[in-house]
Parts: sequence; structure tokens; C-alpha cells
Amino acid sequence: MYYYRRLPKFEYLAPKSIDEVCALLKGHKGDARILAGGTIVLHRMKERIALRSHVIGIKGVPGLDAIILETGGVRIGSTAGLQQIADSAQVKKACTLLSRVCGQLGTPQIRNMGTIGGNVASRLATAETVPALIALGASAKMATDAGEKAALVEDLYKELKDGDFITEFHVPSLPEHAKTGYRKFAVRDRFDYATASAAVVMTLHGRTCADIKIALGGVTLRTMRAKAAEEAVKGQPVTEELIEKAAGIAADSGSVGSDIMFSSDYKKKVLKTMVKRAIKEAAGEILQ
Amino acid sequence: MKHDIELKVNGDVYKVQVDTRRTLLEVLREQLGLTGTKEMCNKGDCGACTVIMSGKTVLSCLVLAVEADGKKVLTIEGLATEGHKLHPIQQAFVDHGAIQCGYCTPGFIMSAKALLDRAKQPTVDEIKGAISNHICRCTGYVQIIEAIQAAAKEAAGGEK
Amino acid sequence: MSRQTLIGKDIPRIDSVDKALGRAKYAIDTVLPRMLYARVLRSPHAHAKILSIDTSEAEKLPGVKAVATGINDTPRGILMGILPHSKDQVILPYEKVRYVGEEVAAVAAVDEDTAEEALELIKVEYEPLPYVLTAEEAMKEGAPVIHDHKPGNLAARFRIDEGNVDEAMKNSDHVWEKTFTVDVASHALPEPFTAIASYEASGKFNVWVQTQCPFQMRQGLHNVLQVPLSDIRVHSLAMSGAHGGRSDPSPSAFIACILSRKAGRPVQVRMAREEVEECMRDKASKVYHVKVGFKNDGTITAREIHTVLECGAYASSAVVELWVPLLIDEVLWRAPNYRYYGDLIYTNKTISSMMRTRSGIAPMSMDICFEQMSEVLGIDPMELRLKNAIKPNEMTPTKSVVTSTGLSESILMAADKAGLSEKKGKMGPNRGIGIGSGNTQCMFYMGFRSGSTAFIKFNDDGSCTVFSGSCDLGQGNQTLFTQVAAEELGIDMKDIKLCYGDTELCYQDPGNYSMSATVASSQAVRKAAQDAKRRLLEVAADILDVSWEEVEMRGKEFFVKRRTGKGRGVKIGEACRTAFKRGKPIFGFGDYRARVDQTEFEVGVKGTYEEKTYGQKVQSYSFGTTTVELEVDPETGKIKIERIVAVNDCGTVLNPLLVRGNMHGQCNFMLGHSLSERAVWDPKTGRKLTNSFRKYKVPTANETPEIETYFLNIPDPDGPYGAKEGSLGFGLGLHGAIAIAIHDATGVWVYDMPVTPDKLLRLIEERARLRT
Repeated sequence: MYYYRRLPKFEYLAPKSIDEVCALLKGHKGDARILAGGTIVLHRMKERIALRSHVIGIKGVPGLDAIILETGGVRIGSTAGLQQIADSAQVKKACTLLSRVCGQLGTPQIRNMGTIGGNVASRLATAETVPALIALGASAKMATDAGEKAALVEDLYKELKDGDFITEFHVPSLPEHAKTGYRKFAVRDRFDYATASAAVVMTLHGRTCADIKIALGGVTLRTMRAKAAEEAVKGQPVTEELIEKAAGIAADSGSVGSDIMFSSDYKKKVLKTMVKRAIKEAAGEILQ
Repeated sequence: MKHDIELKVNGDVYKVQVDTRRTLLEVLREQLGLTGTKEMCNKGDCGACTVIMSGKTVLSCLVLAVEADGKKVLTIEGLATEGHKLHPIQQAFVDHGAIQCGYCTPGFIMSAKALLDRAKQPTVDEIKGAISNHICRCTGYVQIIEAIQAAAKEAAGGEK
Repeated sequence: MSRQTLIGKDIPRIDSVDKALGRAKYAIDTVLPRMLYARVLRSPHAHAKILSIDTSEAEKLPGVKAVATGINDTPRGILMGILPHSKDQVILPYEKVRYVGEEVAAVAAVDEDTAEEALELIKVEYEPLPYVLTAEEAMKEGAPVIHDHKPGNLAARFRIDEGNVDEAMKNSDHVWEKTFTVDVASHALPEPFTAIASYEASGKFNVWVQTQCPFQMRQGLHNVLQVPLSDIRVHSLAMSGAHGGRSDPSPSAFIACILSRKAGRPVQVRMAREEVEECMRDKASKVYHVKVGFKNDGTITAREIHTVLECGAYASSAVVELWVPLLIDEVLWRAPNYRYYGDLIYTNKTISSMMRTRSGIAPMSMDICFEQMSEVLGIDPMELRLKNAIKPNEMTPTKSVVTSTGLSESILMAADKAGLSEKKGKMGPNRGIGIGSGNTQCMFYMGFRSGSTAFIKFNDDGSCTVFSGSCDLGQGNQTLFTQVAAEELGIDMKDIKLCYGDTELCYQDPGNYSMSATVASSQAVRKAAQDAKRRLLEVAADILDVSWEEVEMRGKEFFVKRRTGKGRGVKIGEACRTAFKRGKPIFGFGDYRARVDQTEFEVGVKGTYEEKTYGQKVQSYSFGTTTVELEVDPETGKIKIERIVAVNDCGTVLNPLLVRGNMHGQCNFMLGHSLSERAVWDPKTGRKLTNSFRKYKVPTANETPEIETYFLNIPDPDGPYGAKEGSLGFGLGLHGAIAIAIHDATGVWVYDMPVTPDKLLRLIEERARLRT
């Protein structure tokens, strides 16, 4: 049994432009890892998980952390920090849900070091920015071997390939009367990864749901968008019973594994509760 | 592979040669002799290695030394003045019994400093949020929170 | 005018400044010239024969200076263990390994990168054997035998049978019976365990290592390395809290010594966090079956306890933990007929040892019993408690006398301060309140080390140095000893320097277990100070030409009593210098032997270790009661603790600032063990999975409730100034308080700790199903 305290041997590369990053990824195909904040990659390297012999540090690429408000939405560079996003006036203006989710993720240190690109590219079921990005209809721009590519964040599970590099996100502004909801469950609220979470963006016409997006956290990437649950709510008057039903459909649709602490059965129950509460939050006073 | 880097730690400039695989924590402790920053889990799960880099708290065990090149770093050793005159936060920790075995203490103090640098009258909830990365096994956190509250009050009272 | 008393004052710890500055040196911070760095290769198997170890490639790696293996370096015929009959471990195994992570070989190199690389070059051939991960499996017929000399994997057995339990149960009006369980919990200590040894050319080992008892560490090294005691020096060091997890020497300290001797250079053995979690110590899991007989009027007639503990691969100090539930239970609630049967079982897991939440399941069982029986008997549960609570000077079934107790007072005060009767059943949906009592032992019998000796030497200006063999793991012992010495001598704390925990400079001390620092170590310091004070008075009296009884100290000067005005005073410095000149320098010598009886040990047949102990096993007991107010989220099972009220019967409170902090720490530990901390093993590999702070859920500041602390201040006849320990006993009732509060909030009874959210949700759903 080996227990390591030190990082393994690797070569460190510090490109200064997106083109350089792509060239390095191509040149070391399959044997290079992008390093942004370090909270996930270096942690895994210390545990000797999925080692690559080259590490490409991208924090030195200028402009990659820019947050730019435009009409229709906000562009967020992939190395924009989580706390930076939480504090950003532009993000709060355009899509406050993302600012809220980033502000609740992990701990202050994790938020200071972690980046939105790193969080999404980790491909972890518990990556907390992903459900929010999906619910907001965000898309990601990637630099690939075959040139630039764009995809909805909810499709990244199949569109983001090894060797691709996310350069920025585009998050559409929340429609004018859209309401949001977000709930997460972690054993230790401000420390652990969220075992289950739910992000909801809903537009109401009176008491009827005109449009809704429901995204789940703590499930496999492929099942993060709860489309079936959305269909059950869209066009319907929003009631407690409908929310309960939709939450059940959402929890069923999410693919959840067991872990050291919890069985998948329990996680599904909690997921259902998170969805229910997130929709309720978005529904607001109409449930009174 | 070796890299020549420059670290600005506690107002001093250090020119050191580091291996690619060295973390900032390792360089601080083993090459610069600044053992006040502690290694507890070495993986970012405990907060003991917290330093303030470029004005923000970071987990130095997850920062590559080469990526700290040219950056300003503040460690626990940089808080006291004139050698041993305690920073008000350090004094508050001493006065309120917030230090038992003391192993987690430097990390907590750095996070407290970062908090009080930006929030003048933090609520208990804000304090708990600021120290959420930190594990302490001895104090049960109560006197730590009391110390940070006292330091905030003192700082607010001290402003004219 | 004599200086105001220091007793009962809020005194900041004297070691806090260095710790706040980051200057305190722990083992991991200690650097010696030319020091080598060592890492240990560990077993990947939970149970396996070692067939061969080939270190030849590792030895060739440039920078490697020494290699150790069990086959080459373990002295044969010497076993380690804390009691004569529990010795079962060697420093590096040469026959077989018994848990994933057990030491197999070690390498010392010029830097740690090289040491880690060298480990990968060591080739070990194993023959895997079947393994067992639970006591239940280990006790089955045909289970793999972990230690050949312990058939049935029975590490130790404890039997007490007083009065006639069976008869009493038969004649009782009611009998209550329940089984409780508590999972393995880990200490999750801050400091990654580090051991440094420097072997000198003279044959002496200098050692720096985190330990609860430097003298026990020295003894262990002496036994195994076979060098004289004077050739081993365990140095004083800043150490992180141990909370029971450093209660016996671990192989790393020995490995450091061996490597240093081989290399001729100092060696620092280090551990990664996963290593510390998987390869140091845990708290034994317990299955705890209780049966209690009651009369209609609520008096307990008899109590019967059957318990099985798992100790992991080696017995370590779990062999003492085996009878800790007895030590706690027999002292809280009277029982004229009493049976306690405990079995300690080996499993192929991380070694278990003592833990500061020790056997909280014992008081939990009785607190729940009282609540449940109150409905059957129609008697208020508070009344049931008070009726059966032990009173001062009563004797326990195993013949210990409880000289001081404020148990009843603590129950009443906690209930009052928390508003228990107004809140119980009335806090609203999903909110509840509960109450629980606990106790712990102050200074139990520890054989040769059942007492402490202290020494004080004076400088010619009247300042002094106190020598105490005790160490300080953060509890505040340094401050305590200095405070006690200053109090007795009548000088300021800043005039006293402390030399502690150094086996070369200090006398023998029991170490930091069983809360002996408060009751034994500081009493020894007090007696030494009293001794020195007497000598000072005699010298001053001689100078003043009176008898010593006529002299008193005012400020730092000696005067003749009852002589007002500015008579001749003798400054303490003058007294010291005069004593020097006369060839009789001032010093103080104090020894304190705990008021405990020798215990009887009985070794059973077939090599099982059986123990029966009677007599005064413990000098004094601390007590306390806590209440808990909490809210349950009925849809996730998650519990939020809102408020704890803690009433502490710890005798005189010497330093409230310090004791309050220790109490908060105990609440934190108990909350973690009640709600979220659970060590988990992978049945497929036998490896412990909860090996990080992220996977093993210790509470953070965010989980901390409001904690109100109160002290009864009932002096104990034996303790220094009437003090008892204050950081442990009061809080052992928290498991029970939480369980009762959960019942108040949800109608659900929990008997298994920890109550993780999934467990509680399942119980809530089951209850809802049964009611429809």
C-alpha cells in the first residue's frame, strides 16, 4: 500500500495564449492535464488518480478570466474565479442564480482558487456550477483539434472530449419575469460537496408555468437536465401537488450512485426534496 | 525540473530554486523555514495551510510553488510587528482561550484576517462562513468565534 | 498584602502566544542537522502471510541511507502492548500482516521524494489470508484466527457479577431491555503523526514524538530496543491534541530509532493524512445490550450489561476501553445487583484505542431507559433519575467509593437552565429537547505510573523552574501547573518557568489519560511548591530570628506575622541567596500517589485474558449533565443542533476560561460521534475508506450550536484545591440527550450511533408507515 505526501513527477507548462494551450494539448495528446485553480487537479494528483505527465497551467493566459456583460447575456472566461463570479455586478445583473450558486460553493479558499472552467471540466456529478448553468441555458465555447466548437452545457457530457479546452461560457440573461430557485444538501453545509442539489429557472404567467428548466446536482452529467419533470410542469397551473409530482419525476430521472456515506436510494429521496424546495422557491407567493 | 522563482513573503523577497512538483506550502516550510503555516491534511480539506496570496486566502498545499512566482504572500509569521508584538487578531485568540493545541490556529487566524480586512462588523454567521474550511478538534470553535468577534469589535472601536 | 488567589481566575494559556505567532514547534516542524526523511511501506492486504521482502533495489537508489524490515530488524520474542496480558504487536511484522496499512518496511533517505520512490522499489511477496471486518464475523465458528494465541479472536474478557442479578430480575416489577450500537469513530487528529529519532554515537536515542505519555513511550522503546532507560530521551514538544488517539506507542517511533541507528543520522518518519487515518488509532465499535430491573416505585433493582467491542488488529488500549462502560455506568445509577460481561474481539481493521467520547453509549442507554420506563411506571423521568442517582460516599458494585458527586445537582440545574419542562413536547413540529448525564474517571489505577513526581529548582532572584513529567496536548496543562505552583509559592506565574514532558529532566508521570494531569500531576506540583515554600519560610524565619510558623508572605517578601508597619522584610531573592550561601539551595520536591487500590488480575485458561477488578479503581469521578435542543428536517433526516446547556461537576474550577474551552471541544466530539462521524471499510479489500477530513465527517464551525456552560463548584476532597477533570465526563450524556431530543421532535427512538441523516429518515418513514 502506498501513501503519498508529495506530488508525482510531472512537467509544468505555462502557455500565454489560447492558441498555445491548444498547441500543447495537441502536442501532448492524451498525456496532458489542464490546471486552473488546482483544487481538484492537484488534489487528484496527490492521490495518484488519472495521472498525466504534463500539466498545463492556464491561469497565466491573459483575459481568460474576463466577465463581460453584453446584451442578451454575460460572457464568463473559463478561468474566472468562483468568488469573482459570486461578487460580479455583471453576473448579478444578468443571471443572479449563478452568482448565488458560486457564492455558496465550498469554502472561501475553494472559491478564491477554483474556476468555473475547472468546476465544469472536472466532470464530477457534484460539480455545483453545472446545474445552475444548465438551468440558465448556458453554453460553452471550446477550443478543439478541429477548431472552435460551441455546445450547451447540458450537452457537454457528450460534446466535451479529452483534449478539448473550454475557453468561455455564455450565460443568457434571465428573462424579465423569470424566477429562480436553488437548494443543495450537504452533510456539512459550507464544507462538503453537495450530495444533491437542484437549480430551477421558471417563468410564470399568472399561476401557470410558461417555461421551466430544472437541473439536478449529484447525478451523472447525462441526467442533469430533468426534461421529463419540466414537461410535467410546463403549461400547468403550479400547485403543491404538481410540484411534488414533478420532483418525483426529476428524482427518478437522475442517475445516482451510492458512496461511502449514503445509498443511492437515500440520495434520490434527498434529491426529490431539493427539487421540490427549489421549485417552491421559484414559485414564490403564488403558492400562498 | 528546477525553476527559479521569486516569492514576496511577509514583505521579504526570496529568490529560490524549486522543483516543479513543490507546493507553496512545502517551499514556505522546508525552504524558507516558515513553519508557522501547518500541514494537516495536505489536500485542501482542513484549512491549516491557509495563507493570503495576492490578497485572498488560498490553500497553499494546493498551490504550485511555480505558480506563486512573483506573488505577494502573507503567512502567520507576517502578522506580528516589531518581532513579537501580537496582531490584534492574535491577541484576541490568546485572550479568549481560542487556542488549545494550537495546530489549527495559524490557518484560522489568516482566514480571520482576510474576513476582517473586508467586513468590519461580521455577524456570527459571516464568521462561521469565513472559517468553514477549517477543522479544529480541540476547541469546538466557540472561543474561536468569540475571539474573532472581539477582534472585530476592537478594530471597529479603534477607528476614529 | 498577600497576592490575590489565582484559583478560579480566567487565565490565558501561557503557551498561546507562541502558538498564535506560529512559533510553537511540533514534531513535524522539528529539523535536525543532516536529518533523513523516512516513509513506511504498508500492507495492501487485510490479512496475509509475509513470504519475502526484497529491498535490494530500494537500497541501491541514490539518496537512500537505511532500510528496515521486520524480517531483518524486528527483535524476536518481544511483543508490545500496554498490559502484561495484552501484548500482541511487533514493530515491523515478519510473519504476517493483520490489517490494510500495517507497517511492512521502511526507508530513510536524504529527502522525502527519494524515500517515496524507494518504497516503490521494495518487493514484498504475500500469501493473502481470509479476513474479518466485524466482531460478529470474527466470533463465528471457523473464522480466520488473527492471533494464534487468541482462539476465537477473543483479545480480552471482562466479567463482573455482583449480588444476584438473575434473582433480582425475576423479582422485579418491571424489566427493560434494549440493544445499542455505536460505530467505529476516528480521532482525526490535526497533527500528521511524525516521529523523530536521533541515535548518538554514545548509544543514546533522542526522540521527538507526539505521545500522551513520554514515560510510557520511553518504556516501550526500552522494552523493544533493549537499551537502558537512560539511553532514551523523549523530548518535550508542542503536540496537537490526542483525544485518546496517542495512548500507546505506535511502530513509527521504533522505526525512526532503528533507521537512525542504521544510518547514523537523525531520521524523521512522516505520514500522509490517509496513513494517519488508516494506520493510527480509532475508537472501538460496540454492541451494548442492557437489561434493567425496576420496582414499581422506580428504584432500580438490578442491571445487566453484555457488550462486545472490536479492537481492530491489535489490542492496544482498547483493552482498557473494554471496562470503561462499567466504570461509567456503575457510578451514575445505583444498582444493588450488577452484572457486566464484556468481550474484546480482534478484527482485521485499524487498531482501536481510547477516545475522549469513550463509551458514551453506556450513559445513553440509561437515559433512554428512564424516559421509556417513565411511561410504564407513570413516574416523571427526572424523578426516576434523581431517585437512582449516586450520592456522595456511596460505594459502587465493584467497591469504588464515589467521594464527591454533583450528579443530582447537575441534572436539576441543566433542566432548569434549559427550561426542560416548559419545552418538552412543546417546541413545535420537528423540534425537540433532551437531557443526558455522564461521568468519567479521574486517575484510575495505572500500575507503576499511578502517581506523579514534581521538582522545583530556584534561581537566586526567587524565580524558579518547575519540572513535571506530564505533557501538554493542548488541554492547558502547562498553564495549570504554573498556576498551581504560583498559587502555593505566592509568586507570579511569570516568575515560574516550566520544564515538562522530558524524560531525562523530569520524574515519572502517568501521562495524559484518565485525566490524571488535573488530579495527580498538578497535585505533585502543588506538593513540590508547598515543600519549597516551607524551606523558604524556614530561611526567612532564620533571618528574622523567629520560628517559621510566625512568618508570612506579603507580595514577594517575608514578614513576621502580626507585626504591622514596616518591619524588616526578607525578599524572596534574599532568602534564596542566603540559602545558597549556607549550602542548602532552595528546592521543592513533591510526589502524589493516587488514592487507588491495586487491582486483581486473573488470567483465564487457554490464554484468554480475563480481568476482574475490585477496590478503589478510580480516585474521583467527574459528573455532569447536558441538554440539547434540536430541529429535524423530516424530509432529509438532517439534524440541526441549536443549543446545548452543559452543567459540569468538575469540583473547584481552577481556570474557567480554560475549562469552558475544553467543554466546547467535548461537545464538538460528542456531536460528531452522534450525528455524522462513522468510519467505513470496503468489504471487498478490507481497506478503510474514510481516510480524509472530507470523507470522514468531523464537524466544522458551521455545525457548532450555542453552548452554555455552568459549573457546580462542589470541591472534591482529593483534588488540587478541590478540582476534578472538567473536559470529558459532563459531556458523555450528549448521546442520550440527542436521542431523547430526537424522540421529542419526531416520536422516533434511536439506539444506534451515529444518527446519520439517512438512518433518521428511514426511522421517520418507518414510523409513518406503521401509523397509517
